[in-house]
Amino acid sequence: MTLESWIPIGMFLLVAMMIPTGLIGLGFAFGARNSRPDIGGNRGFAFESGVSTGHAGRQRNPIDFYLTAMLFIIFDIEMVFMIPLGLVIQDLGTYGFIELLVFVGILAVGYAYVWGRGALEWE
Amino acid sequence: MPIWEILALFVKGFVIANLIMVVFALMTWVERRLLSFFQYRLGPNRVGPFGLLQPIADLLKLINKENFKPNAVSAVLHLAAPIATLFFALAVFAVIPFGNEDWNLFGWVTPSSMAADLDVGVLFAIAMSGLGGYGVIVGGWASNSKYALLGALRACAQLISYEITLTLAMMPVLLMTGTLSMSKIAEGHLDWSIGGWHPWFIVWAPLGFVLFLIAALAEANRAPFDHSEAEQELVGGFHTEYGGLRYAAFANAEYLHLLAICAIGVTFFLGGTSIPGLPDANAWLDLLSFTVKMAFFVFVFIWIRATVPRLRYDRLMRMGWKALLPLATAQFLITALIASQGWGRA
Repeated sequence: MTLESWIPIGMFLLVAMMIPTGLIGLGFAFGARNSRPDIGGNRGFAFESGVSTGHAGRQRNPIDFYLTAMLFIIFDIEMVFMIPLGLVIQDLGTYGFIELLVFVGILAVGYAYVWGRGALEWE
Repeated sequence: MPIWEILALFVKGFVIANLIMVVFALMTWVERRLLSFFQYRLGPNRVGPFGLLQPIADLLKLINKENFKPNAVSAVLHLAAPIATLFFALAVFAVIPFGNEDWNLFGWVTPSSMAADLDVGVLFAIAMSGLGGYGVIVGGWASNSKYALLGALRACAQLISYEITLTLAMMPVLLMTGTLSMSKIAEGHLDWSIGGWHPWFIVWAPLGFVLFLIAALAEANRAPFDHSEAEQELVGGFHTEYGGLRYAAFANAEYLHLLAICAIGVTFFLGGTSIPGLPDANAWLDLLSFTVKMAFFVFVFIWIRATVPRLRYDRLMRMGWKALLPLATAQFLITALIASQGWGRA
């Protein structure tokens, strides 16, 4: 695979970049201007359904999100290993299949551990 | 590569990308009309014949909206997030094989009707649709609002959880085709046969197809998994602080994401452009067949949105990790057995 075969991708990505920037640019060019600058900053507060905004939006978050992201990395790495093995499994035959079983088996042990420790639970 | 050829590639990319934008515009109309019919009302039918010009009216309205930026946001990120999201959503279409035949346009034969036949097309598609999550989380963080941040976190956790299932559900087809090129995968079912027939991969991996459908719903943030914008809980989710065309870019990206996943599903499980009993169709028929299959996918997604209530978030995550993941692995192992033994190879 030569560098030249990426030129079509590059051209498409160029177009794909032009469309969103053009769209947002249209908003800058033709969007309505602020007709009441005298109201000042109040209209720019974060939306909180009419309740007082209180402190800033960036605050402490549940740990579950962080945990999920970590688990995702483990399983995504698994996919990274699985794809090359999967592509050649027809050439490897039974040997490749047993290899795959061993790999999935090791992974299953980790999966069972994570399940048992309750990392997959959400409250 | 000579400069005119690069220019031709640019024009081709331009045509494909803009056709996709037209399909997106039509799809918003189709979705609103269909949802209306499901709910025993008429939906948008005033602008143009059958309301077909409604998307154009919507666009004109959105262009006229003030390009508003709330006080507390990070200005650069707030602007960059919708652009990035739409960019990544569009980029997936670079490797979608809308047809494998060459097109004969006024005596000038153009290459096949996909923007780029990459050897690693599948990886490119997965990567680009995965990068879309960045736009969501950056947009939510830059908004500096509680609802937006929580919506972004939810969306991100959901995206990454279901991305594993999505990739794992696609693996059976990769096992059987042994390639990452989207155009070769679309024709891959010809190498396998049951009793002289060459069924699509949906027959070889039915469970994989169902799991792909479910994971695709979650990946595209569609009901019943639209937790990033659960309006009863989070106002508008990660795009609460967005308006006008910036919001439109997010909505646009969401629809494009759905279309892209539909197209990938058609390529993987429904035989791409192939028509049963008609092996030598021309490029137009190929495109028609691909479009009909995609329209079916889209209809099913709209149908599900009109039928199924939203899942609670903890149940959504539990289902993803505890039910879909083992099932997808089971399908993966079964297909691995078939592929490694070569049962049914033509």
